[in-house]
Amino acid sequence: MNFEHLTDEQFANILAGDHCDMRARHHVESCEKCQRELTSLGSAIGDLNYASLRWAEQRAARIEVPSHWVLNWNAMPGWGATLAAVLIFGVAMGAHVEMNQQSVVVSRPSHTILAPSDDELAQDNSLMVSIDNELTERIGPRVPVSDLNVSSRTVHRRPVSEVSN
Amino acid sequence: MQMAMATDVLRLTSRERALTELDDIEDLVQAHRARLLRFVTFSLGDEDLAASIVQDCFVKAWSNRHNFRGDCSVQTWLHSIALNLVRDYQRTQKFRFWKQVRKTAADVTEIAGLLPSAASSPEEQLLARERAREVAAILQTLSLNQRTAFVLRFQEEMDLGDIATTMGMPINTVKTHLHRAVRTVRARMGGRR
Repeated sequence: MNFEHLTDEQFANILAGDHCDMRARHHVESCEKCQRELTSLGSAIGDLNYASLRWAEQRAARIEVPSHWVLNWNAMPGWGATLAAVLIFGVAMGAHVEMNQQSVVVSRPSHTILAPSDDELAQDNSLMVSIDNELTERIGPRVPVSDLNVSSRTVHRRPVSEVSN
Repeated sequence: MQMAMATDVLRLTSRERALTELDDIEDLVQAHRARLLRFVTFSLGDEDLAASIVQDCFVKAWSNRHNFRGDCSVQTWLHSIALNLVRDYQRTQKFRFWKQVRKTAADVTEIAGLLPSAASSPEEQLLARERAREVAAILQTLSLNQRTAFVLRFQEEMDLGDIATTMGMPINTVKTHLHRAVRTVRARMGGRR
């Protein structure tokens, strides 16, 4: 009996069902400890595989088949996807601008000012004339700009010598 | 010369077959979703995140099906895509947040509770469930590479060559990760001192 127990490599190979290493095989046949360890770990891994696969089969139903739109989008080369994105953006922007223009056209009539009628103009004129008359009576007649004395605008100026003192 | 031609023909035939399999997205999802979900759940420890990554994996596989060379099985190819997505996700900040919150962490007790109940006595069933739960809990403490190597070897029953393809590593590196994982599991299960 060989008392050198299985190395990790030999153990892994036998656990995976690879019995090519004759020396390791002979050792397992004669060593109860290694046999027990292999059986114990092998059944634990086997149980875990069985249970985890059942668990995954139950949960995998949530993984749906990707839609063709998603598949085609991803299958497109980088430049193609960029071009498509630019086109979609352009079309969307065009549609947006078009809709805005339409809304401006629709809303325009509400902002248009209708031309006043002749009666309204006559009323406005008479009102302005009466205001003008009223002002003339209170303040006196208007003085033409040419008659104003320009020098009067400098009356309040002080000589520079006074300011400096 | 003839041998090489025969190998090429075989590879082309298997590629054709795989492309047909990959073309039918519904069949592809039906056939592989459970195993992929299990693999990603064990890799990340979160059920919702795993479901989302498996969905992305199918979209990616279907979109890139013309790049499939037929060097490995469709299952191996899908697992390598899923593993790349897992690695990408683990690098993000979002994953660190999910890891802290862990609202949808896969419940190992619930998984172990799905063991068959008719075969043995209640005591034996309880013991079997406890040991399966223990293995699942130990797997969560391993590094991603060790856990991936262990799960692909003992759950997905892949050979070392396929594991190396899936993980994108040389076989010897895969062996190292696998043996370290086995050592930890053996030690924690009380078998090796």
